[in-house]
Amino acid sequence: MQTRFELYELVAPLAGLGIWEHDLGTGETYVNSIIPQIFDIAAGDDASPADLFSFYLDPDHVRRLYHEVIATGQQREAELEIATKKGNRKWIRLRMHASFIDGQTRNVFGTIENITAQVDFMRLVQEREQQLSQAFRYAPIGMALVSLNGTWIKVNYSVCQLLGYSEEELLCITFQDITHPEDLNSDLQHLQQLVGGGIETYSMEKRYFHKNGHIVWALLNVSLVRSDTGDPLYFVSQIKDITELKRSTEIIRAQNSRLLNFAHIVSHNLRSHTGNIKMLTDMAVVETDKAEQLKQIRMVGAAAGNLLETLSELNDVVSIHDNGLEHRESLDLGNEIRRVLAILSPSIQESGASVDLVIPEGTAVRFNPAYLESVFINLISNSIKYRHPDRPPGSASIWRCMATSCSACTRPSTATRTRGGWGYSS
Amino acid sequence: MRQLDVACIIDDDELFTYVLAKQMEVIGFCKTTLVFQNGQDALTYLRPIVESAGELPSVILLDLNMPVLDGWQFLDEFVRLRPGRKIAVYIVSSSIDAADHEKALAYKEVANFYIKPVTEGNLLEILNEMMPAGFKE
Repeated sequence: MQTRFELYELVAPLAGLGIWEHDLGTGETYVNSIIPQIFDIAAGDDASPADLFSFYLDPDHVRRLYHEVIATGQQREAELEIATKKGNRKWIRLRMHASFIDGQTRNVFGTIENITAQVDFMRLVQEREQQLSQAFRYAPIGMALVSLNGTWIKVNYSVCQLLGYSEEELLCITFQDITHPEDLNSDLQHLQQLVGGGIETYSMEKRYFHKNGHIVWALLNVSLVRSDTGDPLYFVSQIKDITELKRSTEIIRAQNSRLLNFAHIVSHNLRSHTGNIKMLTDMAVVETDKAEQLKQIRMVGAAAGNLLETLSELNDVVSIHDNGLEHRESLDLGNEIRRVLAILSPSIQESGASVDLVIPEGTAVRFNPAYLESVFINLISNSIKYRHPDRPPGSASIWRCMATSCSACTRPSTATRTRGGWGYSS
Repeated sequence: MRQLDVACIIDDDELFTYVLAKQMEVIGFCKTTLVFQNGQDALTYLRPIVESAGELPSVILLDLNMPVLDGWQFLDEFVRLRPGRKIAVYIVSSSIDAADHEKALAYKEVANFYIKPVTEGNLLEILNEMMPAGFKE
């Protein structure tokens, strides 16, 4: 069996624990083998507290602690930085206490540990946390921590920008409050799957309501943070504004759809005439009756004429799309239509039709004046030409305002956001 | 020789109806050809005779784009007529829009969709479908 002292001598190095004692009466100091190692001094070098103070970067601090222990008898502990004899920087944890005999402090003793590795590690962790926090705060994409019931826990600047709310305002509401109702169920179902462990993450395109009431399209990515024991803690959301992208996509889709429609019209109209020409010429070639053959050849001429007329009309359509809408003016819709009605009044009277103009006074449209006139001339003259034979001529054409607002009209739109237009029925 | 009794053309393009009727005459497609300028005229004719199988056409060649009552509107009215005999409707249109084709073939009354111009081969194909070899009235 070792003596207690020998045991200390053997065990302390196992823990990397420096042990020291200073007798205030005799001035003698005991240090174990670890302390010279920490300070990079030789085993026999002077190692009294006063000798070692000079290695501390803040010697006054450690000296003050030392004297406090002597004066109060209370133990002190501190994490301090030292520069060793060889110039190495180290962090140490110093613990000190004192023993009393007859109310007099006799011995000061304590421990010293090298904690450089732990301090460095903690510093690294703190640095990382700060970097993450900075990244979160200033990320150009919206980032948020959201509780399991949908309240916002933490939001960054981009989320506030995107939704128009201040951070304080957002933290008082849930994401459900500002999600478009048509997207809410899908969002909630995904969250349930996340919590249930069915999925690790999800992304979806969804609509939020901006504080001003308009719709914001966002690409949402969500994952779930769980505790060590696997309990769900909160959601991490990334929210990217894709409103502009959506708008551009819509414009492109509408343009493509118009182009496809135009291609179909072109194809249809050209095919009608060329089909006739083909059938007529095939027929004329084998026709034996000379009179009939001549008739067929004349018809080929008529079909070719129709084809040219169609081509010219298609050309007009293209030029209207190219330039027509560049020369827009604000026009009084009622006045424009009354002018067209005056032009067409002979054929309206002849057909026995009546036109009932119920457009509110002062309704304006922005359009090219020449094209607006031709639009109405075509609409009205076609409805007379192709009127329903079974219906009385008196009801041949009626102008009717289908809605209280219209995207083409400059009248303010109503609160209900009803979209309609100027309707025409015959 | 195989020949249909009554065929009906509904199309507003007078050049086309002239040529098609002529083509039908040349190949002896049918005994009688009825031509209507639009769906409304055709319905006006068909309604009073809807139950007399002898007078009804056995085949209708129907254009889609027409004024007054177009091909679609005609079809919607036609399916409600419940004629006294089976009448096969063939769409004859210049439309190459796939949506038109799908929509037309969704009507069980529509037998097929031909894109103009109509050839003699198309007419013979219709004839063959209506009256397969060995067909007896």
